[in-house]
Amino acid sequence: MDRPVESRDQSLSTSAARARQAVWSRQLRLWQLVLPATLFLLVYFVVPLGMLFYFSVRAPGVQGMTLLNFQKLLTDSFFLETLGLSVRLSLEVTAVALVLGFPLAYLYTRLGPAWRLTILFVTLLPLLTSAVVRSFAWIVILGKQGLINAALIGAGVVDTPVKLLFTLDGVRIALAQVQLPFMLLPLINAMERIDPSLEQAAVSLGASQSRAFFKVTVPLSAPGVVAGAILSFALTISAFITPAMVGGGSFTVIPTLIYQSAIVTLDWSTAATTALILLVVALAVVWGGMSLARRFRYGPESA
Amino acid sequence: MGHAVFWVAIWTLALAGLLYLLLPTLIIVLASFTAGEYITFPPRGLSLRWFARLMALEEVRTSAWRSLIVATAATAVAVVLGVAAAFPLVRSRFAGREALNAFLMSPLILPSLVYGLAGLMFVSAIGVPLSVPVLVLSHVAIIVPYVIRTTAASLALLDPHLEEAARSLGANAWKTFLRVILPNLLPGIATGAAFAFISSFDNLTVSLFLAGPRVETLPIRLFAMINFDLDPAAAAISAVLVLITFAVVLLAHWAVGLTRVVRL
Repeated sequence: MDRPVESRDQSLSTSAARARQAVWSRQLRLWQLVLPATLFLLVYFVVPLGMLFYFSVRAPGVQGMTLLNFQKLLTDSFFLETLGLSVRLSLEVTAVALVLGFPLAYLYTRLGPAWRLTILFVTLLPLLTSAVVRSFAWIVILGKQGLINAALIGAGVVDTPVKLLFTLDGVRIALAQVQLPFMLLPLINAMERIDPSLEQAAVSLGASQSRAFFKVTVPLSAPGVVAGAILSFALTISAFITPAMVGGGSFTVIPTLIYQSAIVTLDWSTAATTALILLVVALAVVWGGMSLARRFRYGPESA
Repeated sequence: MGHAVFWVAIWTLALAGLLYLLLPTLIIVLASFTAGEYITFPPRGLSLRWFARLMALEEVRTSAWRSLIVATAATAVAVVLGVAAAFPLVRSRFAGREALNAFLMSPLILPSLVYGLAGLMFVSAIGVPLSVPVLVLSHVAIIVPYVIRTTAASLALLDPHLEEAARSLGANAWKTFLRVILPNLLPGIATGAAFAFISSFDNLTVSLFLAGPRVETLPIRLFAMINFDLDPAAAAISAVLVLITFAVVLLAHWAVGLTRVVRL
């Protein structure tokens, strides 16, 4: 009586093993499909970044690796001023995008499908439009005979045209428009997850609409705010085209320095070092923002 | 703050935001129809003369054609690499899958200026002269995440039972892929390919480093034209680029719906 049971057990286990093996080999073949893209990016993405690192730790007349390039830049007052300007500009642009983006994202969650579609369309169109085209449009809008000056003079606010083009203010205006979509999408995603009845409950318990908004919706959308702010900051600090075109060389930001040393003065070590410093600053903000977001997720009470 | 005041404030800021988003696109398209010699706003008379002039500008034609070739080739390579990679990322369970996914998405996060510089250093280190194929490959690196992301999102929504049904009804793996899986993924792949195409077609930052003096793309030409003077022909090129972008957004809406696109 023992043997048949045993053999049945055995045949069962072997067929199960065979099935497992079949699944495993299928998985192995499927797994291999990821290889072409991975290998491509290893060669064409990781190796170039390695080169960037290599150039930043090499200096003429120095054997092996050196931090001389970093030391030179980080003690240079013009470089530090430029870095400060880049950081400040990115913070300001992010703040403007947040102030305009938050109400729009909030309305998005409260409106019907037609409005939603309109908002999404108006958000995605500039997001996918060439940065050159958008910057060009801002040159036309901000110029002496541009739309803004025509409106200001027409309304009698000013007598002579205000200088906006080729100034820091003009670049702020243009960059905030470029970053607004990147702020809006994470905000919309975060706010859609908030149950609207929470705000209604606050109102029915006697809170005013604005109190309910600031005490319920604003804190609950913190993860979206952080995600949008990180994205907007990281993209602004590395933006090259808009500051170059709308700023017109009236001031220097970090991406301008990278381009100049790489293409104009052909000083690749400085270009690579500047690029790495830019990456470190951007990553520090991303990391800081993410740890802030984690605190929000667990609630201020547990912190 | 009263109820009405609150809503007036919200609506005012939101409508200002909408107008702000739309303004540059509107202005540049309207400005391109000017009949005058310079770009002015409002445009002096309406005409299509600057669009006609585009056809006569040799450099514009050449660079537009080159951009089209680069973007088409880069998108084709990115679709092959990206669609293949999306399958294991969604359907397989292996160690380090999350890390691999993050790695494959990393070109989206790296500033394209930094990638352009790194790519230039790489290409000159291996001693390859700057050419169209070099430019295509560098574009592939920055656009492949779009294809992976949209394909993976479509694949995650596809019921695995569909494949099992096809297989148990006698279809082989290849036929199952072509007749069952691919048609269901097509909207996602098309959206990713459209985003990839427009990112390559519009790219200036990476091309500035890797195109070299003899490989001028349309964005480089446009950049040079605008820095030279405010030529209405540049506005006409911009209007055409806006139209292409418009088509991409419509395609994304028609294929998967904009409400799903923003969750990607």
